[in-house]
Amino acid sequence: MMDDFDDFQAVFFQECEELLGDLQDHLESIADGDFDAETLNAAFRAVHSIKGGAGAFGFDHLVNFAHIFETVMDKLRSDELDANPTVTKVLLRSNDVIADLVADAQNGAPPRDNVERVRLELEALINPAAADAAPVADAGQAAASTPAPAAPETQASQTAPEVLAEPEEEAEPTRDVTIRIAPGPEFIHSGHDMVKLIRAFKSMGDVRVETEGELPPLSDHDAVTTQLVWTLTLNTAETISEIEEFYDFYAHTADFTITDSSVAEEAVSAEAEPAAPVQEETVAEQAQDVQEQAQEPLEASSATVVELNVSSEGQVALDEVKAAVAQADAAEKAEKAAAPKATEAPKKAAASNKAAKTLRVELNRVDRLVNMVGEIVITQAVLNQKISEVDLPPNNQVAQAIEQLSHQTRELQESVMAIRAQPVKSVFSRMPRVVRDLADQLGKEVTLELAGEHTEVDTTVIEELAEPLTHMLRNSMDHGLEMPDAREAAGKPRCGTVWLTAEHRGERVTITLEDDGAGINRDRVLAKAIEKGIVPEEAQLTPEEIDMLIFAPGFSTAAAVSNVSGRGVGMDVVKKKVQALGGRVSLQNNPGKGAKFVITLPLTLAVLDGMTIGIGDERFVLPLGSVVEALKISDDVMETLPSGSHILRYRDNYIPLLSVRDLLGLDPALERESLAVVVETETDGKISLLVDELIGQRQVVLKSLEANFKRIEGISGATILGDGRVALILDVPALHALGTGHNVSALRKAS
Amino acid sequence: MSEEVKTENFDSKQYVTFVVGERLYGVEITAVREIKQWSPTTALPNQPVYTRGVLNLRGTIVPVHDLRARFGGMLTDATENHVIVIASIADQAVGILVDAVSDILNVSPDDTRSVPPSAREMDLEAISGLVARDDQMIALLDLTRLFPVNTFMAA
Amino acid sequence: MKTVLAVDDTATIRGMLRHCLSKAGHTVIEAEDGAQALEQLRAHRPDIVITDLNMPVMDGLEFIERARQEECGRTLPMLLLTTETADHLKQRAREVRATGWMNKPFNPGKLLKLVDQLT
Repeated sequence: MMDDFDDFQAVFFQECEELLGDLQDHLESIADGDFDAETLNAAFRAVHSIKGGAGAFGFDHLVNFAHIFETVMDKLRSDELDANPTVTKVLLRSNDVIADLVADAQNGAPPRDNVERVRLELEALINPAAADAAPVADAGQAAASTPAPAAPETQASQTAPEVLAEPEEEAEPTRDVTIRIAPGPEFIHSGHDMVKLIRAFKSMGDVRVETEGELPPLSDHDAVTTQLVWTLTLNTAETISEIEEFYDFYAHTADFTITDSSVAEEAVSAEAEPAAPVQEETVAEQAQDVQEQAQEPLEASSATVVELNVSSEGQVALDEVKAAVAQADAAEKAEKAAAPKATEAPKKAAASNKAAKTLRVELNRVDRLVNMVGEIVITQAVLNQKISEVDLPPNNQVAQAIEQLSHQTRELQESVMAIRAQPVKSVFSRMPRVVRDLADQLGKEVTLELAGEHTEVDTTVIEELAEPLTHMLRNSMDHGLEMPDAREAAGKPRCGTVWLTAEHRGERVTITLEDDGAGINRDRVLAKAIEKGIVPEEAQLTPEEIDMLIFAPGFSTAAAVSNVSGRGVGMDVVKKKVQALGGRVSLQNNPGKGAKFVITLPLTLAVLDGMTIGIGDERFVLPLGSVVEALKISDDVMETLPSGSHILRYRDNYIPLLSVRDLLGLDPALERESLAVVVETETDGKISLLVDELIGQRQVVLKSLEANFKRIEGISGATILGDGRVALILDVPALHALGTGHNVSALRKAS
Repeated sequence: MSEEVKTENFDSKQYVTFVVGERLYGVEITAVREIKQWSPTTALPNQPVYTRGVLNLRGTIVPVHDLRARFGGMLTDATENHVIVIASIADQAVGILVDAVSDILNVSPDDTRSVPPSAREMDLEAISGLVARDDQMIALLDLTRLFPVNTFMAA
Repeated sequence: MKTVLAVDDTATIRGMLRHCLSKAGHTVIEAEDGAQALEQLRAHRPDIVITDLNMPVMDGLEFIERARQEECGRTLPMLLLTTETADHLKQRAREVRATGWMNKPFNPGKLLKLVDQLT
């Protein structure tokens, strides 16, 4: 049972995550003034749903806060409150607080300090005049639609965690409580049933039932609207309030009065005297009989009234009851015939709802599917290879069918990958919050501009992106953006801007984080790097090399970093994380004007269009997107620099020529590689790689080496080729980095 | 349930034993996933000498280590007669290249001797115990320490 | 035992209801809003309905009002399970002839008792 319960909690938190995302979107639209009634409704519902779920699990702090938040949203949607900047600011803060509360509920952490503050801000919105006076319900509409500010406390007492266990009842002394019920005409048509009601009261103690009132002649009797007054004498230990809570259900359809004998014993006994007591058991059973025979149980329950008073007349009376019931039924049918179209509208509403249906699927199911499709792609490749080895006439039907299968496999794979694709929005949407918190903390004014939130990336990439992105954002706000006064002095607007953008570029996604702050202070960075022993004192570094020092391990340490960017991690962690995703970070520093970080990531970690190349006996895969062309190596195109490193004459330019063999420490070549593959590095222009042969283009399924290996420089992963062998996937920019670091020694060895 | 089984197997463990050169080694049978014939591996750059590379085990990429080379010997001149023992180390599949698989042994803790403290560090850290059988010594391997997952590779 | 129609736009609440009711042997059918609930009502003829109040498309009150016009909903016990407490909403609930009003968070024991009592 506990496990199930935990499952629900998991579902709840998952749902909360979505709701919080929606809520944030809606609130931001509201803050931007770009909203309509439905936006307000949707925001209200999101808070409301969080509250509902939280209540089910006894997350009292969350319920309390959500309650007052919801009250404010309710006022907004009923136009009692205007969405002015003061209000929306509180709403956005409330959004942050409720997100915190959800997280705290999940982690079992106590509520944070700011909860109470923001709660008071919300209360002030509800009751601006008397924010800290005792709450008084005003006579206007507001009082009717919104609970007074004191309500959360009441709510709290209701939400005591009694979720699954019934409190044990003690054997308290019992006394008689008299409940007088006069069912109104709506009683049956609100789904009630006297027999069931009596049975229900019986669960609280012994019940005696008496009836009073005049019965019309049976022929005039209307089973549905019969007025008869019932007096139940309940011998119970339950308190009045418990009984009240119990009969509150029925109170609106019947005239209820309740008298507690322990309070007013005299009155009760005096009143109860005249009518003859009837045992409840008998009533219920007899009523049941009538119901069964009448075959229309709900109608018949009222007929029990009849039966009680005429029971001595036996079967004859029953028949008359049946007749009365049948009559009532006929009347109903006539009524219904008059309104045959009543069901049309809801159908339409249901149809419109279906359009936006989504299916929630566990990620591991999708992963199984992805893996299976991956295997199919490999099998497909094997099949292709085997077919090509068989001597078949050109354009034969087998080859055509295989070709078609290839297309279909590919389409299947794309469809499956599309399931995993998610807009980066889910990460981006967490950032405004980071900015708000930090701006408060740092005393800076910052606007965050988001763009390209709908760019889709594989869900794994998305999950892993939040941390580095948050860190970079913190870094920009802490170290990049200046204090408002300093900005003003520098002729900039007091409020700094950070742009966070995502866009597709070929097979990769680019995420840019740019700010209009002071940029990176190269003198300071260099001094610090020397102080930390990252670079030797006499080092001669280009400005770009100095900039990149901020990514060096050990550059920022806990002591050197404020608690904002802090947590004791530096930008090196960002770089590592991005690299682990098969991505890269680059940096453009414009001192005084700002800095721009660019992360490029693969769209997916699962498939890649590759060019298979051969070096010796080994096969490697180059991402097809990076391959520009392949050239035959001859002395005409290859040149050697004085340092010994090789360059390739390509078009009108010279580009680096690197030996993959040497960079990766493979067995030395027996003879010089015959080909140079020109590849694009994205950040550093074109380079060329020496290989023995080009084998062909194919789509490969990426297999992680991470599980078994630390990151291997120059290799981004592995795949399985058509013949079942493993081929390593080359990481072009990493090879280039290796090359610029090692090309002197590596190529000297080669030449 | 029966008395016999109880006394026989109480606390004893089964080991897969295999041969490298003249020596016998044992690995707990629960750690062994399967045994397969040698097939050429794909070399990985910048790895320890004893890492032969990786192979494809039904879609999973598994590193293969040469046990002979791990204990300081030459790289095995692997042929089709050589065997790769696929073992689980910290839930990761790892292949160990050996000459041949020998037997499955029941070893009770009473039969196990510890490595004398005078032994070289390499032996001490990788061998969890010694067992004498038919005049031969079997070295029981501690795979987690012999091939620590994720730490033996150059960064 | 009984067939219960649980209507709530929050999956968590539906899950809780399903869990607690099916454990007690009831069959639970679900709907995410009032419109779906009406369809479920016609298709499955439940013994009792437990519905949320605030829902997209069609809220719980409108649903009950419409359901009462259906032959299968005329005398059906229909409970509102909501976090709302406002009197005017309760009054509305009476007008549309809801059988009862229960506030979230719900106590599973009480809920089961109610289901037993009303069906």
